[in-house]
Amino acid sequence: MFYCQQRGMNPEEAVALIVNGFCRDVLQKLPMEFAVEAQKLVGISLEGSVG
Amino acid sequence: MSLVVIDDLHVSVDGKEILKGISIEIKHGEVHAIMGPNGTGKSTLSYTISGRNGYEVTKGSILVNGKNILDMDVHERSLMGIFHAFQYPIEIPGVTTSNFLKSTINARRRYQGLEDIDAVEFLKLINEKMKLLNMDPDIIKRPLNVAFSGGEKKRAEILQMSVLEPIFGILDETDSGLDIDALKIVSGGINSLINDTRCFLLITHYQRLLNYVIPDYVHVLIDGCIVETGDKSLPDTLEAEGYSRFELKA
Repeated sequence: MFYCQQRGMNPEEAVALIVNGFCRDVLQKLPMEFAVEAQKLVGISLEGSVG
Repeated sequence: MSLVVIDDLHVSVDGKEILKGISIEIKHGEVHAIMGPNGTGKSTLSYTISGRNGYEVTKGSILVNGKNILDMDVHERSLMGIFHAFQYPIEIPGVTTSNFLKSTINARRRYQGLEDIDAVEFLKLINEKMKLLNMDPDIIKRPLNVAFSGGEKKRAEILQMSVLEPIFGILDETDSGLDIDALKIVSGGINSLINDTRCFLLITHYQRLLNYVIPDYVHVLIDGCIVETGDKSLPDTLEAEGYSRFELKA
């Protein structure tokens, strides 16, 4: 978090980036059809959830 | 007016006073180095400037470009031009170096009221900066700092610094873990950024970085106090005599 903020991201942007990355890391290990669906869900649930 | 004015800075961590009244003024275009043995407060100083939690300023002030930064959030300090190159850069799984760089550039552009950077312009900028640092172009497809070698991590820090173009760069032990070739390349990257619109604070144990990035002033930090300030010849003396000669004074 601190690292991302030191590079200019506000707390909400920093959390979104880290969580998205973490999820992507996990989702890449899933079968393709799951991964596409799950990435959409992550995108939706992150919007406006942090702040 | 100096670009950076640190005045009588006292900082405590977990209730213990680590910095005991540091004063440093850095003018536009200057490079200052801070040297000292382990555990004397060098990293505390850099974290205090960038605003990490847990570093409590009990007295004194830090002005950057005339503004008191101590009331500002971490990202606000970054956006006004403070860049802290970390001794141990953080790994960010799942976020490619390219994506991370784009996020940092866009955070800055939004702050300046600009549109997000377009893909072509972004690639052009990154490729140009990476070439300067002799970096493997494929590195931007890999997650930031994940499984990077020590040298790649430090180069990635300098790459970020060169795209964000800060007014005040703090380089915390950027030379540690670099072989001599990487040290020369990283130093070249730092030197290419030195100009009259910005200033730098180099934190280092060793003299070797200062052979390539020549400081205007060198401060010796021992037990939370600056015990001596000199010019670029001071590190030679330190190298020859060690820090022991200060221990009587401190």
